[in-house]
Amino acid sequence: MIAVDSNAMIPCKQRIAIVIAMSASLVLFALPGRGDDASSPEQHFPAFRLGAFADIVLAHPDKQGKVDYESGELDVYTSAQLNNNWSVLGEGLVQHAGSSENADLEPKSDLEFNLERLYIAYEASDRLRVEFGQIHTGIVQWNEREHRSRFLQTPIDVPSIANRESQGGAWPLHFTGAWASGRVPGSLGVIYGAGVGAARGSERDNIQPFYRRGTSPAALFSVGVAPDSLTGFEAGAAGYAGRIRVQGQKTLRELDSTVYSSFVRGGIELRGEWAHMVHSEVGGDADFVTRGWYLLGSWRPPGRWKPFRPYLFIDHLHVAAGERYLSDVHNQNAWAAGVRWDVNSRLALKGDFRTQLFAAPHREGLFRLEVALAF
Amino acid sequence: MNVRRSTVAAILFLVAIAAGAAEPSPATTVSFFVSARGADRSRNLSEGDLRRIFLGEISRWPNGHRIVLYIRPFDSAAGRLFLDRLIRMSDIDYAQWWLGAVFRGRAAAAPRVMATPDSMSKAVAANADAIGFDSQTPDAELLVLTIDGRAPSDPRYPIRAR
Repeated sequence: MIAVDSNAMIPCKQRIAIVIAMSASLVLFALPGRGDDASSPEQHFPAFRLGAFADIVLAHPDKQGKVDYESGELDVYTSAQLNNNWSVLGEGLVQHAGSSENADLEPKSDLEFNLERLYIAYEASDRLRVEFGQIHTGIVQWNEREHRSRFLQTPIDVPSIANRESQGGAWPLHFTGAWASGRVPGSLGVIYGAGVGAARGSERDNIQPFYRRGTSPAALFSVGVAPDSLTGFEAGAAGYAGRIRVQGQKTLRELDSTVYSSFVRGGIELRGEWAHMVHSEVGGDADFVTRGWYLLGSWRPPGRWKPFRPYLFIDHLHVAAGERYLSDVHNQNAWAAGVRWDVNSRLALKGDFRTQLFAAPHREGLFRLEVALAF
Repeated sequence: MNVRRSTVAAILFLVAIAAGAAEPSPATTVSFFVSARGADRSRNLSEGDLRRIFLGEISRWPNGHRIVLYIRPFDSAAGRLFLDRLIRMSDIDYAQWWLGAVFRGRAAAAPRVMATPDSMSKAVAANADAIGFDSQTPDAELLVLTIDGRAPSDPRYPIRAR
């Protein structure tokens, strides 16, 4: 993470806003592309692609005396299909840091530049794909599915268990190493993943592959099913084992597990995930247990109302008391209700009310508006 | 009494005409087809695998070649039936699904949209790794797939209007 001083904030914010506004104009006024020419049907390599997601969130507290705040993200990714089997992908995130993914953190006035993913992948078949480099761990299914794009997700919020490490997230979402995954043929729709590599370091919020300190080996796996007999249903589990070396503290042994399920069919979207993290002192007696879960329900009506998707989102996180490594991660007990409006396939507006059920020092309620774009 | 019946019949007739004019005649089935140049592969797919192919979750033919996807516009009769009966998503969600698939690094590109039945047939016929669909019966250069062992003419064919 590279933080920019707040004095440089205003021009940076303006630049981001201008870029997003210009891009929005392009998206709104550009004619939709249609690939209806039958020429050049063969595949050509290398094939490059550059894309981005951007969003701005404006929030207004429901009580007098609180200040409005805003946040924004620009997530740029590029990929190249080098040949039939090899590909590379890179993703970087520019963020107006603070509370964009966690309405209960105090806003800051700085920018972050993070390398999210950078890997080379070999895929000989759908049964086996191997990625080498900086990847997302997949220990939290939300993170595996949405990565950093907030355009693709229905609600404004990212669940607390899927918060990025630098935004108050507790779970290890980034990982440097090798990850093998694939799909087992058959009507059960089994998918699997397994990986080994360098786990997070002594600083919980430092995810950069070349600047992390105190990394240690870690392993993770995941398995899921999506049976043909129940179109749209998916369920699975994931596990992560690693160590955390913190200067001046006993080494922690980390063991994480998650279970998820979703049903997405027609206009219905139901998602839920439960996550459990145990940090045990090596050579000590202390065990720190952190738990979190979320539920998301949304519905896209048919006909003329289909651009709208009302949703309800419940988010819960209980951080182990007394664990210093997670000392700046906050408990959550919140819900949000709102509507997503897909203006077109590249622009979405979301509005919701989010309330935090915990008492001080957190905000109690926020009215929010998000403008999210895909390029 | 006769006047009232005639009036009702006339109104119903006009409504039927108006409905017919507003909506293109609905497709009863959607045929999925591949190029005759890809004749070495199976001509039958399960409905589940066909859905996974058009979601990019299955990206290769058994010979290891990448599958090239062609689709009809979502406002066409074939496109609507494809979304309703196979994909089971709205057009908005399907477009965003593919944005996500490319972003996740699992697909190189989204399916290409073929505006007319003729351009669809030509595109699929020209590429041994392509698969496409339409509500019209394709020409002889294309091989029509069966789904779960059922041909489009079978009343139990799954991608069929109810």
